[in-house]
Amino acid sequence: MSSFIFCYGTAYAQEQKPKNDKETLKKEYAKTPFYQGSSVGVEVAGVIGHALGSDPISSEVLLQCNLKNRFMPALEIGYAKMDVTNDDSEMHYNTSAPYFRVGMDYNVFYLKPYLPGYLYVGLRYGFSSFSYDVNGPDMKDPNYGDITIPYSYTGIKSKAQWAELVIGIKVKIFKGFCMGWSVRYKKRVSAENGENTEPWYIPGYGENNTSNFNLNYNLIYNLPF
Amino acid sequence: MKRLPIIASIMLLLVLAFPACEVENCPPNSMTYAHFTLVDQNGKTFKTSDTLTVIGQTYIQDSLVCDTFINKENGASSLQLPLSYNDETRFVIAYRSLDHRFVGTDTILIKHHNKPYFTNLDCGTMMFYTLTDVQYTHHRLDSLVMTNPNIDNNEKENIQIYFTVSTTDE
Repeated sequence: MSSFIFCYGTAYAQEQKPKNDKETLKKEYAKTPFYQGSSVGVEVAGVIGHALGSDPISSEVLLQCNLKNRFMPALEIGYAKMDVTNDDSEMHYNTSAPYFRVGMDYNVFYLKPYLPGYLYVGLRYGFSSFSYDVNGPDMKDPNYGDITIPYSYTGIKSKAQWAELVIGIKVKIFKGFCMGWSVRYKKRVSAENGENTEPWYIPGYGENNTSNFNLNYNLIYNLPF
Repeated sequence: MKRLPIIASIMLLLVLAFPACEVENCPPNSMTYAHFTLVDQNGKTFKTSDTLTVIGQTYIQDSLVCDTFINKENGASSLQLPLSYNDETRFVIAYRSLDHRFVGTDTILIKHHNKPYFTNLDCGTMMFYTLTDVQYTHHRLDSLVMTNPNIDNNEKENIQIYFTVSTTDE
């Protein structure tokens, strides 16, 4: 990925620049049609991360349309699975569920459509309705002798909502194909707790912390309509 | 736009640095206790001049299990006592008062609903409780008031124990 950045930077430095003073660019931009096309993408960092040893596996499909080369409403539909046992605590947690995000990106370089890529910032609202299983070793009373209570809860239903702040880059690779990567700061809005549990991992959000960071890597195809 | 590769590189570095920032969010105290506060007839916290010993008891299949949680403590103003994994726990408070030449006990019987609880895979499970009923004798203590029936790891006061305190007690 970093070699691509380097190559791209070098190629760009050698590029012949068209007339691009701000006034000309603004005049050109004013002629831009409202609808600029749509794109479909797939997120692959969740699968690559799992292949490299990370516990969760996730992937998502991205649908996005381009309005005035500036505003880009986005819909992301994904599926995540987490099935893990902690070696120390011997607790086991299992969930797999779809998640949804809606939001919009803003093209910071909207005046420069001649560039082979752009930097964007965006917002998302994320939502997942999921169920999870938690089980672990029997709980032993630490004070009053030999009382043990089993700990096993399955099919606990929960819902979670969160907001995301996105900063990313999208660049053309070949014809209608692009790739993009983004850093996301996620802030939990709500997560329903069970009577005996709190969801430890939320599909689409990650571990149930008050906030999370993660990286998305998308392969995108610009639809020809 | 010339800065794009630099921005991308910074973003990549940030992402690579994230795993190093992971922290375990385990609560500092995985044990949960019933929190008792000793209060005088005016509802004010006070330090007792009695020497206190507290024994916890519960029945396991008709046999009585006991453990001493506080042994001859002086100047207590609050007590932190663990409940059992049964549905009721009894605490015997033994007093020894030199000022009043009093030696005796009170018994507090607490009925509770147990709530095994999980928050984090790294931290395992904890036992939370909801107090459902409190019965007590009043040889030395006056009365008990349940101020908060929920026992979790937030360490809030659950029960106030009222005593009649004369100025010489404090």
